[in-house]
Amino acid sequence: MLFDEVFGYREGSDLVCHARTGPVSFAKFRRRLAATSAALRARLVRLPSARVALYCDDSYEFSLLLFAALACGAQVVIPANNKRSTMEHIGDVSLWLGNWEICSPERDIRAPEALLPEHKDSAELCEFSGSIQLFTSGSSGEPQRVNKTLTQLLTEIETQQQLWGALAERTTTLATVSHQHIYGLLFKVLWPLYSGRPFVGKTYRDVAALLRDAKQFAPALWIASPAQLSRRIDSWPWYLGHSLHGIFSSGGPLAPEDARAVEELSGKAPLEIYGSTETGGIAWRQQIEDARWQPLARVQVSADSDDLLRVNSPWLPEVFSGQDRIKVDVDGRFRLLGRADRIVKIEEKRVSLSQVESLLMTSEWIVDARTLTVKRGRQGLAAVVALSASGREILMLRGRGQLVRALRALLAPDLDGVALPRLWRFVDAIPKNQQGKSPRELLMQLFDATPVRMLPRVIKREMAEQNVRVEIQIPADLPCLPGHFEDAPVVPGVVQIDWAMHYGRELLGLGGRFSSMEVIKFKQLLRPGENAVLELEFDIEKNKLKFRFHCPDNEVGEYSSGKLCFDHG
Amino acid sequence: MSELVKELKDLIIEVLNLEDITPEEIQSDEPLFGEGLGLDSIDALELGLALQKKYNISIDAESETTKTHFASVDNLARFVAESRG
Repeated sequence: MLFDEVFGYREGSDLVCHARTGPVSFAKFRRRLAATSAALRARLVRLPSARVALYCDDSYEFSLLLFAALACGAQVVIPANNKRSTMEHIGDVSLWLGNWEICSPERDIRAPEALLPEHKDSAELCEFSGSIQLFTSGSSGEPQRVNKTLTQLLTEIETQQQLWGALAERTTTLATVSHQHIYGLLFKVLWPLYSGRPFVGKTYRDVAALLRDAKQFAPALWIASPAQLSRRIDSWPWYLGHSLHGIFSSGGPLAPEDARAVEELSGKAPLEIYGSTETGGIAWRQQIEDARWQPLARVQVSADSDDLLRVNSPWLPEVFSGQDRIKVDVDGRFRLLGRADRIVKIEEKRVSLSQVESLLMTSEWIVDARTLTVKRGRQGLAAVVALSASGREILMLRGRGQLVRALRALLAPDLDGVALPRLWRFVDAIPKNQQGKSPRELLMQLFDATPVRMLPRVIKREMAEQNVRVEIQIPADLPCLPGHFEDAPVVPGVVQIDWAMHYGRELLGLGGRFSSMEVIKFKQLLRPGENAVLELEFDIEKNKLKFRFHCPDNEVGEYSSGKLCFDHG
Repeated sequence: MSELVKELKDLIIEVLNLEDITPEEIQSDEPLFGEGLGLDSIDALELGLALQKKYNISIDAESETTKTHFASVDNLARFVAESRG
């Protein structure tokens, strides 16, 4: 691709970027690009078909290194993050460009500074012959390599430009998303460069700061995603939204209430783009007008006999069949019905449940694991884990909190933060139905239990085969205490039964459905501030959980006792 | 200050729905993100929002010092105390 086909700036004085170090004109950008490319060429001289990996926090440095490498004819691998597992997944490359977490000399990592000599005479670039390799969004899930040519990416940009060109005219692009994903790469970097508009090099984390800068650089475009648009404070300077000509959102559908709230606050209804790494952009919507997705110009969308997405476009090498289920209306617009595979999307990141499970099972403490999504405040991952003997020992000796920490630390090098399970249940065996399956509903029973603030403070836990002894303290601020009773709060009997059930499920791994209670007795009042011991004993044959709350120092002084019965299967 | 530290620990657990940890188990000087408590980028967003709402302070997530403020509960407490004046 020729230089002039990629960059739309007319004059040397045109502004390309607001970089950390100040504004960068097109003339300066061109010079730095030529110098960076010359430095890179010197390193790659004996490698005619070089493969380089590129990760940068900053979009200005990123665009210099990207086009410098493309000018050298290299294949540029652009991963979603710079984690250790990502480096391993990328495999053999000639150079590691940008910011990489792990530095080792043999890995040949070049920070951008090392390749950016300020003054160096070098020939102007005229052509880009390299290619790009992206990975499917995500944090996990055996990310798939997706090869792109610059021509493909710019063909999509041309279509986006036709659709949004008038809206984007004279704007500065500000983003809360990274250019390491296709959406950010297209909308934050390639589109401004292609249409000759400036962009801000850093990625904003703070919407208030973005709004203030939008005013400073007005008019502006905000390249956003549901993660930020769904987390708002009304007191942010939303009135500065008038400086924005548009707010784009992609990475996952925006909830209707978020779209409405953003419009009310900023005066701009978000423009959503539906697409994927494999396909690039597919469709768009402004859901306040119409919740259905409108295919982009020259994009053909259809559903196969299983409702699965089929898409073709000028920026795809062939028809793509996806795992999104869709319903297409007669006018060509369509709705998304959800995924058909074990990939879930959490905060815009694809997470493969299978991968998280197989990573968990590399631990010697774990014999089996299942993961599922559970919404507790926010959507997150939950893990049901069957512990090995050594795992149970850790649970007993170091406690649940420490075990969870250790398991999260085990996963952390390989998974993005959002893919780390936030809820954990340790069981003897993964609950299964009569068909030997573990459907979501069955696993969910383990999580339907009591929210943590409804539980007493656990001082000590002791566990044996089918017995548990939990020493607890009753906090004065338990939500069940107010009004029960006004001047003399006591722990309600039903709450004590709930605690017995909770610890039975958690510590003994009871999976069945509760069916009835037997011989329930309440002997004395359990008051806030007091310490108590809960003893649980599970009778496997009868599927009954015997519980007893008593005073810690006096085995005889009993608060309550009874039996909880469960269904088999 | 220790009152505020406790308050922040409670806030972290409540806002982030952390169920496997008690306030006592959060060490005041351990890293909140990455190693240590292991919070993620979305937690950072939510915790930032909660602090802004509760203490009516502004957080400039762009500045390098913000990273320092969010490094541990101790740092956060110092930051909140100073910001409230």
